[in-house]
Amino acid sequence: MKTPGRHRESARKEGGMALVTVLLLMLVMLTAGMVTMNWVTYTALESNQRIKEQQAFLLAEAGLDNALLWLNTSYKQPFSGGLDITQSPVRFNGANGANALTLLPILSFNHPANYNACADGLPNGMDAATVSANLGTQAAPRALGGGTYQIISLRLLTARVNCSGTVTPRDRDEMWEIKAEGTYQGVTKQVTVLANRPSPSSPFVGALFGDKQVTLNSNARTGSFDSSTGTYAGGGGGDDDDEDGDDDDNDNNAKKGWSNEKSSGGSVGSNGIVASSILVNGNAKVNGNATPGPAAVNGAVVVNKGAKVTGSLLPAVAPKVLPASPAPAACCSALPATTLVNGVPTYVLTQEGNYGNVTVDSNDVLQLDPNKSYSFSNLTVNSNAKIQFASGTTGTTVVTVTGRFILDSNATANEGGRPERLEVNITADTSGDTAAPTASNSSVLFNSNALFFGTIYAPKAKMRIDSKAELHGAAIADRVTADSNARLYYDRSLVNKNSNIGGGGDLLVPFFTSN
Amino acid sequence: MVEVLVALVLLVVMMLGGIALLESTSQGQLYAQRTTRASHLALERLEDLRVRYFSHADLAATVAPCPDTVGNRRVSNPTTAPDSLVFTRYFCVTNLPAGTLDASAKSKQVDMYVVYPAFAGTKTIRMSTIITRVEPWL
Repeated sequence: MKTPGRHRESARKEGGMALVTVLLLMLVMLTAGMVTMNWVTYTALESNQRIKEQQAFLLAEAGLDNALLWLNTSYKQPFSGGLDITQSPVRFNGANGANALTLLPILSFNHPANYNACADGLPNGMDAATVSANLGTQAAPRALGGGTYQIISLRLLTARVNCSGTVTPRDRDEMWEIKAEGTYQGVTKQVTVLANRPSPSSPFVGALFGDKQVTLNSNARTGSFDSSTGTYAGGGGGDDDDEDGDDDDNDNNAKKGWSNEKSSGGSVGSNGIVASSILVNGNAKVNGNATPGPAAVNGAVVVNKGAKVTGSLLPAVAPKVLPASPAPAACCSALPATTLVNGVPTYVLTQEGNYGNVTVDSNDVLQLDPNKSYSFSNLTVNSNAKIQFASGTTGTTVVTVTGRFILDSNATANEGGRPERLEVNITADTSGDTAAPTASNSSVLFNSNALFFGTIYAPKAKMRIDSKAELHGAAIADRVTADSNARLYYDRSLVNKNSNIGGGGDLLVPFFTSN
Repeated sequence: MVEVLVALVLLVVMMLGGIALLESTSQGQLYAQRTTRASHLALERLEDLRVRYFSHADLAATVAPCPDTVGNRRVSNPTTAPDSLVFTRYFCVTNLPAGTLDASAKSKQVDMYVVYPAFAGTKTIRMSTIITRVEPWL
């Protein structure tokens, strides 16, 4: 039995233990509380930081989009000289060896001072300062959504490397490295993309393309050939229309002397997605695909009774980019009087310039120089008249027309020549007019039996190819109609053509991204 | 006796502090979770727009003016989280400034907003980028 004395003694021994225990407990809990607070604070900060990083990443992606858009729609290779693969990074040779261009890794998008916009094919006003301002640089970043973005490196890496590892010095193969940076509230993210452009320069990959509509009337035909492997003899027998119906691709060899014509590859296309965007009327035949715009409605391609499309009718994956037609030269140069060449009255134009309204009278000749650019307000080639090139040279002649380009009955342009040698660009804009192309409203008109060997690029204008007229090459227009018995032969070698039109061709495809 | 009382008082204070701390921790965690969820919702929609905007008429057709802008597009797209909180997404698609390379029908600025509940009222996050129509030929 405990005595009161012993109890007091025990109480004295335990004196202060409760307070000490509570204090220790508080210390532990305070420590735990501080750790927890620290963790919560870190989590909140981390969450905010993640949002900033995501925004910075999106801004960097905006920069990438900008650069890809520019490369796909505005940037053009220097015309001639191709790539110099002895340089690293690979260098574009400028025209005639001058104005060489190297796009090096950059801090402020240093287009070389000697990059001559006109000589090397950039659109007017697309000088280094303009490019820099529009893509954003470290010196002048572009603002977006409370942050900024910029291109910190735009670099041409290589020409194409084939399967055996050999670098092919083709002037139409590009691989770009684009590095973009986004900055948001002090957080910076970089994104790098490699983009490949297998054959960038040609927008001509089918016989006919109408931005809004393509119509082939009865007995019109499309087909294709490769002008790089054959020569044109003119008027030879045979028929490439494959009218025997066997679609064997082998019945065309004799047509007009092209050694390799085929009844395929003559595709037509449109960005139109509404009903009858591509209309193939009775007995007309498309030897190839008829491709409407993406998400086209049922009935976007109409193949009437007796007509035929040998290929696919599926819509495109995405609409086709149609850059603006290159601008004409300033008006006006004086048109020289005709001189007799081989006994034929001939306009001999040896000087580039804008000659305003020109009409080549019946049976006369308009002679142009290769590798030169000519502009006209309206160009009319009357019946049996010709457009031809000075002999003994090669190269592409660029003809820009702001109004109408008319080949009258039996008139010819570059007859028998390779289509890549004549590039006709139309700047007229009748895209607001929904009427079908007629003889009176079309900016490009080939009357019956006309022969045209070249390319037509009229993205905002109407085009009409009348009965029995022939197009050898390719054509792009806003609305295009080929009338009965018209012949439309796509030159497959145009896919490699170094076009004067910005962008186009195969797009730059980003295939690798890192950050 | 006094020290027991002091200990009890300290215990009460500690418990009250602990409750406040737990409350604060809980709120902080919820805030972080909501912010993360909001950013995911914004990114999800942005990537969707990047892929689909230029090829789907339904997106382009569902329009209403964005605040302080003219002729832009906005699509409200509320979603409900598992805890019944409502996150409201909307986006504005605007043309880029005239005179720049990308001021074309092929390139647009997208501002994505997500409005979500905060401690008091709502909080809004905004993410911006540029989307570009890149397409092949035939």
